[in-house]
Amino acid sequence: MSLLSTLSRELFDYEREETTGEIIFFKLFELFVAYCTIQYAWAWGFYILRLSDVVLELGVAIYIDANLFFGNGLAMVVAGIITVCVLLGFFRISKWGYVIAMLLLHLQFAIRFTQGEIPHSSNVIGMTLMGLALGVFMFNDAKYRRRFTMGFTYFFVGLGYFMAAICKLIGTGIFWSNGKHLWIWIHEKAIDAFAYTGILDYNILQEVSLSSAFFATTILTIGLLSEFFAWAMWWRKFRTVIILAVLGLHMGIYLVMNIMFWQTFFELILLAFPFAVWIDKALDAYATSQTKNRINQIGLRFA
Amino acid sequence: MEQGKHPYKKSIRAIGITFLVYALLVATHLGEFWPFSIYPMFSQAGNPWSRAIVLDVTETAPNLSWDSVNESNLPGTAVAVPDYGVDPIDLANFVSKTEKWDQDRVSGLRSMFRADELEGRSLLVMRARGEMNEQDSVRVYFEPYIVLNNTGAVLNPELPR
Repeated sequence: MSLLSTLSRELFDYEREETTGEIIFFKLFELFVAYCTIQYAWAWGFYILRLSDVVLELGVAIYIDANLFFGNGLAMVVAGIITVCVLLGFFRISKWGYVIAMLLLHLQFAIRFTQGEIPHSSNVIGMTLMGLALGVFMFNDAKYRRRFTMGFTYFFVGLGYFMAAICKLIGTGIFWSNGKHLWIWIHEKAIDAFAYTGILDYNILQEVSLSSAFFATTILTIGLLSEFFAWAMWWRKFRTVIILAVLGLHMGIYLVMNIMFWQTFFELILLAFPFAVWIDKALDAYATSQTKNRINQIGLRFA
Repeated sequence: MEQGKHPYKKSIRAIGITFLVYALLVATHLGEFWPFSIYPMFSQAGNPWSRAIVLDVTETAPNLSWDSVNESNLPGTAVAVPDYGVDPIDLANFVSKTEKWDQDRVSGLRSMFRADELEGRSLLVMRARGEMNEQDSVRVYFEPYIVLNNTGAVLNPELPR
């Protein structure tokens, strides 16, 4: 079996029988992504209301005049349309729902982030939304849609972290993990926290990192390795351990540099653990076969 | 299989096409085309950085010096920037990426802070810079940029206009 063929089976595994736990888990996973999409749409929409000038053009904002969205309520209209489209997608009323939501969320992102910042906090949710949009479009059978969306998400999440490691190795080289680099970032992030809270302070982990170059180097090395091997989440047997390492990376970044992508963090938790298996075990213990059939029927309706 | 003969082929093709579009878009848009990115954050280690903070200088504004200071000599009380509905990272980028402080930029900053509603208070936006010095420790210093109040703004005379 070729590598590509093995990889596609690891990601999608279409032959495996689908369980009730998987159906329930997927809909909850989808609910989480739908909620985050709507939350971003409105949060960015409200922020756009106070913008009046473009500092940096990103994505589609290079080709359209972002000023059209300033000084009026157009961004709120876009947020409203995104909300409706997400609901149309979630309840499988229209297969265009997620596609349009995805395109409009790109527009909302491009307008919101015309101020110079290029955050990556929403990229994982964005890629998952794309996986949902493609799955609904490509397959009629619910099982295939679900398996495709999950495989697509694992592929691009793993690739994304791997690319982040490659960028570090290209941008700085093998000595990227020199602890003195962490010292500069800790001070930078302390100033960010100062701007956020009005208080200039360092936590214990930051103090320890600043006092020991060896400790700081160890932290950066573990972080770089977690990113570099993230592609291994494409294989089922490594998935939990690799995503746990990436979660550890995020927790480390949070404790040392005050940066946390909460939506990404929670999605990684959903991707890391075998929730579907746990749901099946709970159903086996507590639910009748009639209840399971009913759940399967509801699952089919919104598949 | 219900979904045609080759669901794997179809799925891998979808991933391949998405990957190609991804590569094309990030290659032509400086690495960023949401939700596609090459994720370059923190890739260039050891570089100096620039941020921004805001101080309430209502008391000290009349005697304000435009000289750079360290953290123990800040000429006012630090404020939490989000209290004004502003994202500190946006502010930092606004300050560092503005090459010419013309009327539009000053108005943009006043509008960001809703300066018309400051009612007798003065806010000083300072650029914070950090770099590794020759002694292998990090030097952080603050440059006063602009004072905002409800009647207008006073710019550091050294800034390009």
